[in-house]
Amino acid sequence: MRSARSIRGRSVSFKITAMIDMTFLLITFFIMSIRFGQEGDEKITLPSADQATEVTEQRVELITVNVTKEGLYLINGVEQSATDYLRYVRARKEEGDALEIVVRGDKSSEFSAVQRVMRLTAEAGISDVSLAALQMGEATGDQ
Amino acid sequence: MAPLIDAVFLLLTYFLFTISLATVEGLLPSELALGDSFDQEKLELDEPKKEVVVRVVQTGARVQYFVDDWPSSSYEDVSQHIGKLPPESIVVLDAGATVAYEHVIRVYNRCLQVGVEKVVFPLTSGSQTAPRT
Repeated sequence: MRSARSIRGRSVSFKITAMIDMTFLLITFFIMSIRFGQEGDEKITLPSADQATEVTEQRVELITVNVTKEGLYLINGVEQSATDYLRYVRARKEEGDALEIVVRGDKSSEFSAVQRVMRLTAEAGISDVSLAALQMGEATGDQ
Repeated sequence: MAPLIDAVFLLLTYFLFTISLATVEGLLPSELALGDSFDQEKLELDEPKKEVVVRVVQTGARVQYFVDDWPSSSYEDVSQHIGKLPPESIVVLDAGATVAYEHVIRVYNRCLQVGVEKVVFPLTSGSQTAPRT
Protein backbone atom coordinates (compact mmCIF):
# COMPACT_ATOMS: atom_id res chain seq x y z
CA MET A 1 0.00 0.00 0.00
CA ARG A 2 1.26 3.44 -0.92
CA SER A 3 1.71 5.98 1.76
CA ALA A 4 -0.04 9.32 1.67
CA ARG A 5 3.33 11.00 1.35
CA SER A 6 4.22 9.26 -1.94
CA ILE A 7 0.88 10.27 -3.51
CA ARG A 8 1.32 13.87 -2.46
CA GLY A 9 4.71 13.88 -4.07
CA ARG A 10 3.46 13.09 -7.62
CA SER A 11 2.44 15.91 -9.92
CA VAL A 12 -1.11 15.50 -11.18
CA SER A 13 -1.98 17.38 -14.33
CA PHE A 14 -5.57 17.92 -15.36
CA LYS A 15 -6.16 18.22 -19.11
CA ILE A 16 -8.78 20.89 -19.01
CA THR A 17 -8.64 21.93 -22.68
CA ALA A 18 -10.29 18.77 -23.97
CA MET A 19 -12.94 18.96 -21.28
CA ILE A 20 -13.76 22.55 -22.14
CA ASP A 21 -13.95 21.62 -25.82
CA MET A 22 -16.43 18.89 -25.06
CA THR A 23 -18.43 21.07 -22.73
CA PHE A 24 -18.77 23.75 -25.38
CA LEU A 25 -19.69 21.16 -27.96
CA LEU A 26 -22.44 19.83 -25.73
CA ILE A 27 -23.69 23.29 -24.88
CA THR A 28 -23.80 24.21 -28.59
CA PHE A 29 -25.63 20.99 -29.36
CA PHE A 30 -28.25 21.57 -26.68
CA ILE A 31 -28.78 25.16 -27.78
CA MET A 32 -29.18 24.13 -31.41
CA SER A 33 -31.48 21.22 -30.74
CA ILE A 34 -33.74 22.82 -28.17
CA ARG A 35 -37.38 22.66 -29.16
CA PHE A 36 -39.49 25.58 -28.20
CA GLY A 37 -42.45 23.37 -27.65
CA GLN A 38 -44.89 23.48 -24.83
CA GLU A 39 -45.49 21.19 -21.98
CA GLY A 40 -47.91 18.46 -22.86
CA ASP A 41 -46.57 18.08 -26.40
CA GLU A 42 -45.21 14.65 -25.69
CA LYS A 43 -48.68 13.32 -24.93
CA ILE A 44 -49.81 14.04 -28.47
CA THR A 45 -49.10 11.81 -31.45
CA LEU A 46 -49.78 14.00 -34.44
CA PRO A 47 -51.24 12.67 -37.69
CA SER A 48 -49.09 12.80 -40.82
CA ALA A 49 -49.64 15.14 -43.74
CA ASP A 50 -47.04 15.89 -46.40
CA GLN A 51 -48.80 19.15 -47.30
CA ALA A 52 -48.27 20.65 -43.86
CA THR A 53 -46.30 23.88 -44.12
CA GLU A 54 -43.65 24.97 -41.70
CA VAL A 55 -44.38 27.53 -39.05
CA THR A 56 -42.86 30.82 -40.17
CA GLU A 57 -41.71 33.64 -37.97
CA GLN A 58 -43.97 36.30 -39.43
CA ARG A 59 -47.11 34.59 -38.30
CA VAL A 60 -49.40 36.33 -35.88
CA GLU A 61 -49.57 35.27 -32.29
CA LEU A 62 -50.28 31.58 -32.00
CA ILE A 63 -52.29 29.89 -29.30
CA THR A 64 -51.66 26.18 -29.26
CA VAL A 65 -54.40 23.85 -28.10
CA ASN A 66 -53.38 20.25 -27.57
CA VAL A 67 -56.19 17.74 -27.90
CA THR A 68 -55.28 14.46 -26.24
CA LYS A 69 -56.40 10.98 -27.21
CA GLU A 70 -58.99 11.14 -24.44
CA GLY A 71 -60.37 14.42 -25.77
CA LEU A 72 -58.86 16.66 -23.09
CA TYR A 73 -57.67 20.15 -23.95
CA LEU A 74 -54.21 21.27 -22.85
CA ILE A 75 -53.12 24.87 -23.17
CA ASN A 76 -49.59 25.66 -21.99
CA GLY A 77 -49.52 22.24 -20.36
CA VAL A 78 -52.60 22.94 -18.26
CA GLU A 79 -55.81 21.03 -18.76
CA GLN A 80 -58.71 23.31 -19.64
CA SER A 81 -62.40 22.76 -20.04
CA ALA A 82 -64.19 23.94 -23.17
CA THR A 83 -65.67 26.92 -21.34
CA ASP A 84 -62.28 27.88 -19.90
CA TYR A 85 -60.84 27.76 -23.39
CA LEU A 86 -63.58 30.00 -24.76
CA ARG A 87 -63.08 32.47 -21.91
CA TYR A 88 -59.31 32.47 -22.40
CA VAL A 89 -59.49 33.02 -26.18
CA ARG A 90 -62.12 35.76 -25.80
CA ALA A 91 -59.95 37.52 -23.23
CA ARG A 92 -56.94 37.35 -25.52
CA LYS A 93 -58.98 38.65 -28.43
CA GLU A 94 -60.20 41.59 -26.36
CA GLU A 95 -56.59 42.52 -25.74
CA GLY A 96 -56.50 43.31 -29.43
CA ASP A 97 -54.04 40.66 -30.53
CA ALA A 98 -54.30 39.18 -34.02
CA LEU A 99 -54.63 35.57 -33.01
CA GLU A 100 -54.30 32.28 -34.75
CA ILE A 101 -55.22 29.01 -33.13
CA VAL A 102 -53.10 25.93 -33.71
CA VAL A 103 -54.91 22.71 -32.94
CA ARG A 104 -52.52 19.86 -32.14
CA GLY A 105 -54.86 16.94 -32.15
CA ASP A 106 -53.81 13.39 -31.34
CA LYS A 107 -54.29 11.22 -34.38
CA SER A 108 -56.45 8.79 -32.40
CA SER A 109 -58.64 11.45 -30.82
CA GLU A 110 -62.25 11.68 -31.88
CA PHE A 111 -62.88 14.37 -34.45
CA SER A 112 -65.67 15.84 -32.31
CA ALA A 113 -63.03 17.05 -29.81
CA VAL A 114 -61.19 18.97 -32.54
CA GLN A 115 -64.46 20.15 -34.04
CA ARG A 116 -65.48 21.59 -30.70
CA VAL A 117 -62.27 23.64 -30.53
CA MET A 118 -63.07 24.96 -34.02
CA ARG A 119 -66.62 25.83 -33.02
CA LEU A 120 -65.52 27.63 -29.85
CA THR A 121 -62.85 29.49 -31.81
CA ALA A 122 -65.46 30.68 -34.31
CA GLU A 123 -67.67 31.70 -31.39
CA ALA A 124 -64.82 33.80 -30.04
CA GLY A 125 -64.65 35.54 -33.42
CA ILE A 126 -61.38 34.06 -34.64
CA SER A 127 -61.33 32.60 -38.13
CA ASP A 128 -57.70 31.52 -38.45
CA VAL A 129 -57.21 27.97 -37.34
CA SER A 130 -54.35 25.69 -38.30
CA LEU A 131 -54.21 21.98 -37.79
CA ALA A 132 -50.81 20.63 -36.79
CA ALA A 133 -49.42 17.54 -38.48
CA LEU A 134 -46.08 15.88 -39.03
CA GLN A 135 -44.52 16.63 -42.40
CA MET A 136 -44.43 13.04 -43.53
CA GLY A 137 -46.08 10.95 -46.21
CA GLU A 138 -49.75 10.12 -45.96
CA ALA A 139 -50.90 8.18 -42.95
CA THR A 140 -51.66 4.55 -43.50
CA GLY A 141 -53.87 2.13 -41.67
CA ASP A 142 -57.19 2.43 -43.43
CA GLN A 143 -59.76 -0.07 -42.29
CA MET B 1 -7.44 10.45 -25.27
CA ALA B 2 -9.64 7.49 -24.39
CA PRO B 3 -12.32 9.52 -22.55
CA LEU B 4 -12.53 11.89 -25.50
CA ILE B 5 -13.14 9.02 -27.88
CA ASP B 6 -15.72 7.64 -25.45
CA ALA B 7 -17.55 10.93 -25.50
CA VAL B 8 -17.41 11.17 -29.29
CA PHE B 9 -18.87 7.69 -29.63
CA LEU B 10 -21.53 8.54 -27.11
CA LEU B 11 -22.54 11.60 -29.13
CA LEU B 12 -22.44 9.64 -32.37
CA THR B 13 -24.71 6.95 -30.92
CA TYR B 14 -27.06 9.62 -29.59
CA PHE B 15 -27.34 11.28 -33.01
CA LEU B 16 -27.90 7.96 -34.74
CA PHE B 17 -30.78 7.13 -32.43
CA THR B 18 -32.46 10.49 -32.49
CA ILE B 19 -32.06 11.66 -36.08
CA SER B 20 -34.75 9.43 -37.58
CA LEU B 21 -37.20 10.33 -34.84
CA ALA B 22 -36.94 14.05 -35.41
CA THR B 23 -39.80 14.87 -37.77
CA VAL B 24 -40.65 18.44 -38.54
CA GLU B 25 -44.04 19.59 -37.46
CA GLY B 26 -46.11 21.64 -39.89
CA LEU B 27 -49.48 23.29 -40.12
CA LEU B 28 -52.49 22.83 -42.36
CA PRO B 29 -54.20 26.22 -42.54
CA SER B 30 -57.95 26.44 -42.32
CA GLU B 31 -60.37 29.33 -42.21
CA LEU B 32 -63.54 29.23 -40.19
CA ALA B 33 -66.79 30.84 -41.27
CA LEU B 34 -67.75 33.28 -38.56
CA GLY B 35 -71.50 33.16 -37.93
CA ASP B 36 -73.68 35.13 -40.35
CA SER B 37 -70.77 36.94 -41.90
CA PHE B 38 -70.24 34.00 -44.25
CA ASP B 39 -70.30 35.41 -47.73
CA GLN B 40 -73.65 34.33 -49.12
CA GLU B 41 -73.24 36.39 -52.30
CA LYS B 42 -69.98 34.71 -53.08
CA LEU B 43 -71.67 31.33 -52.97
CA GLU B 44 -74.48 32.44 -55.26
CA LEU B 45 -71.96 33.53 -57.85
CA ASP B 46 -70.75 29.99 -58.17
CA GLU B 47 -73.36 28.94 -60.69
CA PRO B 48 -71.97 25.56 -61.62
CA LYS B 49 -71.89 23.42 -58.53
CA LYS B 50 -68.36 23.22 -57.31
CA GLU B 51 -69.14 21.98 -53.85
CA VAL B 52 -68.35 18.38 -53.05
CA VAL B 53 -69.36 16.88 -49.74
CA VAL B 54 -67.00 14.23 -48.46
CA ARG B 55 -68.47 12.48 -45.48
CA VAL B 56 -66.41 10.29 -43.17
CA VAL B 57 -68.43 7.98 -40.94
CA GLN B 58 -67.32 5.55 -38.27
CA THR B 59 -69.38 2.37 -38.31
CA GLY B 60 -68.12 -0.01 -35.66
CA ALA B 61 -64.45 -0.57 -36.32
CA ARG B 62 -64.70 0.56 -39.94
CA VAL B 63 -64.37 3.99 -41.44
CA GLN B 64 -66.70 4.63 -44.36
CA TYR B 65 -66.46 7.40 -46.89
CA PHE B 66 -69.25 9.04 -48.87
CA VAL B 67 -68.77 11.48 -51.72
CA ASP B 68 -71.88 13.59 -52.25
CA ASP B 69 -73.77 10.96 -50.25
CA TRP B 70 -72.67 8.11 -52.52
CA PRO B 71 -70.68 5.44 -50.73
CA SER B 72 -67.04 4.88 -51.65
CA SER B 73 -65.55 1.47 -51.20
CA SER B 74 -62.31 2.69 -49.60
CA TYR B 75 -60.11 5.68 -48.95
CA GLU B 76 -58.30 5.01 -52.24
CA ASP B 77 -61.61 5.42 -54.04
CA VAL B 78 -62.21 8.78 -52.37
CA SER B 79 -58.63 9.76 -53.05
CA GLN B 80 -59.15 9.09 -56.77
CA HIS B 81 -62.37 11.08 -56.76
CA ILE B 82 -60.67 14.04 -55.09
CA GLY B 83 -57.85 13.74 -57.61
CA LYS B 84 -60.31 14.51 -60.41
CA LEU B 85 -61.66 17.68 -58.81
CA PRO B 86 -60.73 21.04 -60.32
CA PRO B 87 -58.64 23.21 -57.96
CA GLU B 88 -61.44 25.78 -57.57
CA SER B 89 -63.72 23.18 -55.97
CA ILE B 90 -64.99 23.53 -52.45
CA VAL B 91 -64.76 20.37 -50.41
CA VAL B 92 -67.06 20.15 -47.41
CA LEU B 93 -65.38 17.69 -45.11
CA ASP B 94 -68.13 16.38 -42.89
CA ALA B 95 -66.71 13.89 -40.42
CA GLY B 96 -68.66 12.00 -37.80
CA ALA B 97 -68.05 12.76 -34.15
CA THR B 98 -66.35 9.45 -33.40
CA VAL B 99 -64.10 9.32 -36.45
CA ALA B 100 -60.40 9.28 -35.56
CA TYR B 101 -58.81 12.63 -36.33
CA GLU B 102 -56.12 11.09 -38.57
CA HIS B 103 -58.74 10.01 -41.14
CA VAL B 104 -60.00 13.57 -41.42
CA ILE B 105 -56.48 14.95 -41.79
CA ARG B 106 -55.75 12.39 -44.48
CA VAL B 107 -58.68 13.54 -46.63
CA TYR B 108 -57.75 17.17 -45.99
CA ASN B 109 -54.15 16.47 -46.98
CA ARG B 110 -55.32 14.74 -50.16
CA CYS B 111 -57.35 17.82 -51.11
CA LEU B 112 -54.29 20.03 -50.66
CA GLN B 113 -52.20 17.60 -52.70
CA VAL B 114 -54.42 18.08 -55.73
CA GLY B 115 -54.57 21.84 -55.27
CA VAL B 116 -58.05 22.07 -53.71
CA GLU B 117 -57.46 24.63 -50.99
CA LYS B 118 -61.04 25.42 -50.07
CA VAL B 119 -61.80 22.76 -47.52
CA VAL B 120 -64.66 23.54 -45.18
CA PHE B 121 -65.38 21.79 -41.89
CA PRO B 122 -69.04 21.98 -40.84
CA LEU B 123 -68.97 23.09 -37.24
CA THR B 124 -72.05 21.19 -36.19
CA SER B 125 -71.37 17.56 -35.44
CA GLY B 126 -72.31 15.28 -38.33
CA SER B 127 -75.11 15.84 -40.79
CA GLN B 128 -78.52 14.74 -39.74
CA THR B 129 -79.46 13.26 -43.07
CA ALA B 130 -78.53 9.65 -43.60
CA PRO B 131 -76.22 9.01 -46.53
CA ARG B 132 -77.37 6.81 -49.36
CA THR B 133 -76.36 3.20 -49.16
